[in-house]
Amino acid sequence: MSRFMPRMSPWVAPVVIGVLVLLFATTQDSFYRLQLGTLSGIYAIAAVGLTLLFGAAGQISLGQAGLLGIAAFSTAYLTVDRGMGSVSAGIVAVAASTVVGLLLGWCALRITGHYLALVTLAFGLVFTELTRTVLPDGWYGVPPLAIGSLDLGDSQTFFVVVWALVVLVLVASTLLVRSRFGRSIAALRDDSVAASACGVDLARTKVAVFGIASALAGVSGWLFALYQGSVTETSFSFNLSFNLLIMVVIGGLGSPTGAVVGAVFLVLAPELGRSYEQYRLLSYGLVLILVLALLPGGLASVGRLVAKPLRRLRSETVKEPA
Amino acid sequence: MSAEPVLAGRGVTRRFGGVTAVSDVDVEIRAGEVTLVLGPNGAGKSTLVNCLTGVDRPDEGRVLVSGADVTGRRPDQFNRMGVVRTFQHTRPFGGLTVAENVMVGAHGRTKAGFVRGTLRTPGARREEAALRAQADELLEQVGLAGRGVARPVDLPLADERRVEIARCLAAQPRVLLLDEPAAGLGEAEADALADLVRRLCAEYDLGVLLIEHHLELALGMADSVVVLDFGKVIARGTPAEIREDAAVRAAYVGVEES
Repeated sequence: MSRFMPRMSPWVAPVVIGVLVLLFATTQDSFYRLQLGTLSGIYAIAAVGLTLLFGAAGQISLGQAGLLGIAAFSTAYLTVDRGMGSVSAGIVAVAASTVVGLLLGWCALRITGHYLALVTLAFGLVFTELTRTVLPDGWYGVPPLAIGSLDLGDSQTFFVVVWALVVLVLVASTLLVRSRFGRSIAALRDDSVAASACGVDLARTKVAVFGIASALAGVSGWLFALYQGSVTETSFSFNLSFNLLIMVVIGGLGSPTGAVVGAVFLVLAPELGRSYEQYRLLSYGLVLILVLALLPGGLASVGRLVAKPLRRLRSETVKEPA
Repeated sequence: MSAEPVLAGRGVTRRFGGVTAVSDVDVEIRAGEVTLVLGPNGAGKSTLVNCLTGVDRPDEGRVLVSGADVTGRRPDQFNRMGVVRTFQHTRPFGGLTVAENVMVGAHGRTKAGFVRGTLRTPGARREEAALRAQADELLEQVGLAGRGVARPVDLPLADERRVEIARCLAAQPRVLLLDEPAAGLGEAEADALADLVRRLCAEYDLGVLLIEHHLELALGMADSVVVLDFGKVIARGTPAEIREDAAVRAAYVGVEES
């Protein structure tokens, strides 16, 4: 056995999620449920980005919705007004939100903690206000996802495409966290002075993490525009930024798998309790408190709690013959 | 004595408001030698180390690495030039394992960026494997074999300091600056740490700058000594000369041994 931290293989969670998704897609023909599943996948991608930024690197952002919005508005503009294909529009849209995110990261070089929270919050609010005044009508008639003449827009196919992207992002970010870069962002989070003394270029590292998180927010915003078929500023209010933060926290800060679980939970929970609509915020608060009190590692740590005795069992059975 | 010091401060001055924490200090660190910086609390020892490692920026004076002026560079740039340090209060990365802490120490001389690290290209894999092997080796060298999977918080202070030293060595440094490495340690632990530092200094031909309060311990391992008081150099010389120096006795030894 490795002398290093015994950790789950980075493939376990993505494979499990992939299998569940395929099962769901092949057995569900309810449009409504597929739509909900798709939406949670779309948010999951942005949540994974935020967990890398906030959980892994310790840089809070309360303005992720703005980055989703930039990609979504770009997608709508490019497809509706410019007649671009949904994929090429997506590439430009993701690039746009990444560039803005890099700028935001550059601003973050001089500030940390509460100040960073305020600056990113302001960014999100400015985005909402700006779109409300400049683009009050938004865009309608965004075409569904298609590659050339290949239509991927029906609810079942789009669901599978979105979740394939989620699995891809999950694998990539899990590997990222365990790489040299992943260690350097953890060092930055835990003690930036010591990280710097260890040779970590703080500025480059911070900006890079912001870039990664914004690119993922961009992918999420792009998919959202295609999913919704219309883009208005109300979809990217502070509410969304806040919800993304909740997803990340209840999923387990810094855990990409947790962020996905958190996203699914946050999208599905209100639907399950639809008749108790008025208690939604209250129950969010309760769940958040319960998770923080009972599972400080978030929902992701449930897997670890289960995996631990299993692993012990396995190592014991291996040892026996010796 | 080798010709050129690997790290030198020339006329280093640092002020905080009206207080001059470090005033016109010259200091040299040579390969394979231990330079001891002595002085009572508040004499400016840590500020000096900060200025010599880019953590702080001197208001006046220059910092030279192998003769090249590097004043005002960032800590990570100093690290890449082979100048590494520990901190007076240990600063481990709590979210990482001990072995990963050591691996971060090699950050400055490794390359795999986030794209190659995520894609796990053959080059990145090789680098990662080499880092892991090196971390194991270094932990063994500082007497922490097999503790790689532990979290820094689970280690006693003496071992935490060893982790920091291993983290420094991972950078394959030329100069190691140790800010009170024995603070808070018992007699036996401090002796063991001194042995370790001496051994590493000889083995890697390291230049060492040592700040230490354990006077006998420190004088016993130093090749040369600089004594600070109120930010100024009040004496310099060999350990034997320093023991005899009246000004030092007044400022430091007398107080310390009372």
